[in-house]
Amino acid sequence: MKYSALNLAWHGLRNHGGWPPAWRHASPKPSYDVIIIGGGGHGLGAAFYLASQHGITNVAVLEKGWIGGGNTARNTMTIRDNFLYPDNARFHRAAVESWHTLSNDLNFNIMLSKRGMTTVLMSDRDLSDAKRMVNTTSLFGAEHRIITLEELRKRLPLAESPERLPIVGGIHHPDVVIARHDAVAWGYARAASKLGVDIVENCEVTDILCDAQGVTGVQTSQGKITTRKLGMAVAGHGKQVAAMADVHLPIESVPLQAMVSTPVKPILDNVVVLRGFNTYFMQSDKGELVMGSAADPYPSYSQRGTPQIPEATIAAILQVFPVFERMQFMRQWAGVLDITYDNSPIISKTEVDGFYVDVAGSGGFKTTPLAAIMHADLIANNRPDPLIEAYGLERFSSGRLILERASYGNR
Amino acid sequence: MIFIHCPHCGDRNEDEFAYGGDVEHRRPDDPDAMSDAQWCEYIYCVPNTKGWAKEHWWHVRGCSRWILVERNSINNELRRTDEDSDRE
Ligand SMILES: [Zn+2]
Repeated sequence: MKYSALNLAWHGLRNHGGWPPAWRHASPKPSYDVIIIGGGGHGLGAAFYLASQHGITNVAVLEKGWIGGGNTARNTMTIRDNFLYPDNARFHRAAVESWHTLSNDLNFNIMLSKRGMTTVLMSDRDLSDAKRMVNTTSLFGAEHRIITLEELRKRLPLAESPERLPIVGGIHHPDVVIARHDAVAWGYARAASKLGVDIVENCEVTDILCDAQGVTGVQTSQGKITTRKLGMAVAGHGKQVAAMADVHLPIESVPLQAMVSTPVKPILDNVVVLRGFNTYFMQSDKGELVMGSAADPYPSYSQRGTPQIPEATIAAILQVFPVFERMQFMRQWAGVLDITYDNSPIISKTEVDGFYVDVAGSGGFKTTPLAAIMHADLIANNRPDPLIEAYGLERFSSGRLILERASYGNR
Repeated sequence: MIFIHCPHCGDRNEDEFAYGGDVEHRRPDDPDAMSDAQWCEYIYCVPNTKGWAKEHWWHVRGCSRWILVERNSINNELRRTDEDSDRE
């Protein structure tokens, strides 16, 4: 069924009782042309593009839990492209653009909302660092500029300059958008399912089967399934899953925390970054303040994280926005990131023929559509698009790393 | 986690400590004898154990000594070892 205003009105009149399920709950067939491990935005997206752009519809997405229940549900929805290295800047610039048509492509409202991001600078060091960053990113086409204290006050009237760390200026980045993260998974699932993709939930991959020619299939909690092409789009446990095919991924698992307040009426439109505190926050469409900061200082698989981080995050926000002092704290959680040594993603073939990976996005929500397009293209054509050549696994042995510092997975 | 037991200082807040890596991730004795692939594996493929592992921790904002701690990476539960690490 196509979603439309007419449909909505019709079902509204009938009390919304007659909507069909958005996607089929499939049981696995014995064999597929392509299997994708991981039913988050990246995995469902890859399946959708395999079907829609490459005509490969005999595809299954295997998800251990329920779709969109992993890091797709645990991120802070912010989509930005302020990266400093050419390969990353090009990729993330294109990634931001790939969001704009998504609601139309999927016939599903992902609630894209153009907020803009304002970075608060609180020392001369922040300011000179910001100038370097703005100059670098504008070389790659990102619309980024330094703003004066007056303009910052206009954009963020609630900000107050703390005496010990007075605000000296800001950066404005108009292209930053937010999107409803759950809707991304649901929209891809619905659109892929419609094209014939099987979405299999509660199906954990327990082994990857290979012979001398490469991948032959997977062993799962719902039995053995054969395939010659296997894509992996998992977060938090990329190392463990790839190890089933004897592929050693150079990643470490680190919690990245987020937290939200109870919802209040609209009070803040921009995404705010407090540069010196490594902290950012915004108000979601639901009205909650969504807050986050740097990754935990040690690796872990704990989806809770260390308590130092929320404490420091809230202290930082209250220094500059004392108006939020009486906000009620609602929830706090962590998403486990797969982080590479260079903080850059891996979208790559592996040494096992037919086994492809899209992992280590270091906060990979923002790249979902483009990474999925590239992963699908890689699986279909068995060679990387120029946009992802730099994200190959071979960069670790060749030494051509992309030592990006602009991601939240900073070491 | 919150508190880490330092054999010299007792139970101290975790933010006094810095993580120093898994003890299994040892620098090879003879790097020259290794292939590029093995060296690459050592540099970039840390053990990243899910579950219990023995680790180096540095009491950097305390007595400044390196100690060994056992930690379960699933829930950050700790076991004290009362051992010093061989790092300096
Ligand atoms: Zn001590």
